[in-house]
Amino acid sequence: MSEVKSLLEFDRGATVRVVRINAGRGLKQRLLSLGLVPGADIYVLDNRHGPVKLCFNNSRIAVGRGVAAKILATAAPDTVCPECEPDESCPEG
Amino acid sequence: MPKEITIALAGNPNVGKTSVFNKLTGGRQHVGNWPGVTVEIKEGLYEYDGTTVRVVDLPGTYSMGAYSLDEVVARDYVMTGRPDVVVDVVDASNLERNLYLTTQLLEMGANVVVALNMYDVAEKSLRLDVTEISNLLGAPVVPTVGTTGRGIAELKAAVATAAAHGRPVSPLRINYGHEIEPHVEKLAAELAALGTLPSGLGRRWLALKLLEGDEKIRALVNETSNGAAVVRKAEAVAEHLKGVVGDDAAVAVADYRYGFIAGLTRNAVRPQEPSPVRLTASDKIDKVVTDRFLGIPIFLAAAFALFELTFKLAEPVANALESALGWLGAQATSWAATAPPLLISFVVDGVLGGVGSVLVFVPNIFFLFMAIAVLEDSGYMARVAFILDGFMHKLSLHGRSFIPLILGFGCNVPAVMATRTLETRRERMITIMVIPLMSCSARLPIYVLFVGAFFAGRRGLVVWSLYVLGIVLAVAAAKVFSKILFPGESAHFVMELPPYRVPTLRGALLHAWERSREFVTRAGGIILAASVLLWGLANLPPGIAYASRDSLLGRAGAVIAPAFRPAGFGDWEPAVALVAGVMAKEAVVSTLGVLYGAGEEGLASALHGTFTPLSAYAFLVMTLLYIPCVATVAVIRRETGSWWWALFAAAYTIILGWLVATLVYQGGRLLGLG
Repeated sequence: MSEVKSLLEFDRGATVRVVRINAGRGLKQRLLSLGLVPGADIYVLDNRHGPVKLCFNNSRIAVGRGVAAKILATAAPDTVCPECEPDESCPEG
Repeated sequence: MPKEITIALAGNPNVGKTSVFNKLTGGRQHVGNWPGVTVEIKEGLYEYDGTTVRVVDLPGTYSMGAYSLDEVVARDYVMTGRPDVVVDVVDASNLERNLYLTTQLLEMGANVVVALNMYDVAEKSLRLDVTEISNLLGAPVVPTVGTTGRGIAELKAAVATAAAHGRPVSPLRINYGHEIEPHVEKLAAELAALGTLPSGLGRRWLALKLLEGDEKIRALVNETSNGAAVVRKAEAVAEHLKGVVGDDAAVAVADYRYGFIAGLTRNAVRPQEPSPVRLTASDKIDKVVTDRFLGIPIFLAAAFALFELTFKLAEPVANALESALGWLGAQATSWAATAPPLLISFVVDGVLGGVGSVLVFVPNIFFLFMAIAVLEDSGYMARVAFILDGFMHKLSLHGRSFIPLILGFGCNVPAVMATRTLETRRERMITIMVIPLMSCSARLPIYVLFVGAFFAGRRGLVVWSLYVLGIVLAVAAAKVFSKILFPGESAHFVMELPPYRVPTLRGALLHAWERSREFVTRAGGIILAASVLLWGLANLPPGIAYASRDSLLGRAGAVIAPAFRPAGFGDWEPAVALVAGVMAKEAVVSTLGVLYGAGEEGLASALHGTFTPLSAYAFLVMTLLYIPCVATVAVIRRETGSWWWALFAAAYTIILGWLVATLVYQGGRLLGLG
């Protein structure tokens, strides 16, 4: 198993597997209701400035950098989110 | 025999719930008057087979939790309002996420009918086994396309059947695994034994909510006799589970729910592995629109266009309305020439004037909300929040607060109404409270008058400085309010970026129409009453000249005038103008015109008798900051649901205006400017 890092530390184009959400009850419930559960594979669409843009469960979700810091994940095996395969401008994850 | 049933529409945001609602109810809908609730809830009616069906459109939510005001309102309605049927609108091509809400509604014991919406889009890439989904959920499922109306007739039929059958005898049971399941069962049995909880509300769902630590459900159970013991027990179990499953019970519960949903899609959705798709068109647009360097300029251009377009379109309509009312006033005057002048004045200046000051806002509101609907429906608004979140976060606000704030430059009234898109009460209240500091277009004529009279060489600079002063104070006030009045962390930014869609004209017109009607019916009365009151103050006692020294208004002005001496304008005329300006800020100009007995042309020179350039600037600062107009106060009252906040907004802005005006005047004198 690879290193556990916060979402902030993954580059765009990475596919990651959520390990843990270190947030208070309200925020945690919100993320869970969007499908961001431990074990879920998510694709980092954008993580350069401003909120982090994620793709999972067939939808695009933006989370603030503070929120992203609370989501811990590992690099996932190569299961790229099928709905948003990186195009040429994204480094392969 | 005529029957009436009530159904609620629930569902995630961006699943086309509104179009299903519109198709179900046709034009027969209105924004419901829900006391104490600031989240808006639309209601509509349709007839089916001799039954009148009342449709309540709940706010879009991802879950039946208590994260946002929207969620609380939707959940409370399902829990306590007990609609006969809950129609759960889900995005057929995104069952994984959408069914999360569905499972909760079913667990709650609601009488659910699932509408598989946007079915046409899903059909293109997926094959859904509708019967199998229905069997696994234990609820009727109807494919629909809200935009075209496909499946709406079947949905109505399914609703009628479900209403006739009544609530399911036993709600959906998801197995929560050997660690959690026994505790859920035990707690559910104990809750059932309490007896006094709302009947039909799923006991297992309540048990799960207690395990998740939901405060509102805890309070609900605590209120029942012997409930406290069950709550304590649930807390102990939750603590125990934390040790066993290694995370909050909430996480484990969510995991099992998604497990159930995954099982369902495995059985009922083909192909299992969706074919890989490239980046969508939306992603490509986002690359440009949310670009680090291009994002803000594009937004500013869009905001400027929205603004220009709105006020350019609204202005001629507002002018036409005004001259129509003027004509009506003239007609009334000549028609009732024999009536006492005071009565004529009451009708023309008081009542018609008041109606005018309500209607004058309507074109602005209509076009502004039409434009906002276009931005919202297209999906761009979510991107605006995305782009500006970092900046707004520094002000303890949310990215979404930016839109209402810039709308404030046009008119504070729709700006306050636009805060409804904000998710938490905290963000909303702070934004509403600082909107009055945004210099609205009605304040501009006052600046123009004074700048022309005193600062001819530096017009642009002086006006610009006032706008900037408003913004700086708004930023400072937001900071202070977020620390003192609404302590706590600013809302977390978690937002769906829905795919871009082409907005419909019908949707935009409907939205604009609703908002305009709402403004007239909700705030109109207060504005009219205030207008008549002000007329009375200016014209009574009988026999005096309008707003003269002897009128009630003039006397009041004379009483409060000394308070403005430290700010450099202690005469009674400016004080009266300020009082009149509470009605509408531009009234400051016309009132000064009356008081100095000069037309607008002669007024500039007349002002030199009262003001020095320094005190004139202090007066402008005061007019910028003090009380938002009556219409804004009325709308704040309406949107916050409390007179207290409306009065607070009025009071703090007066104090702030006085302080800053005094500071400007006294500071200027120290510097030898006055």
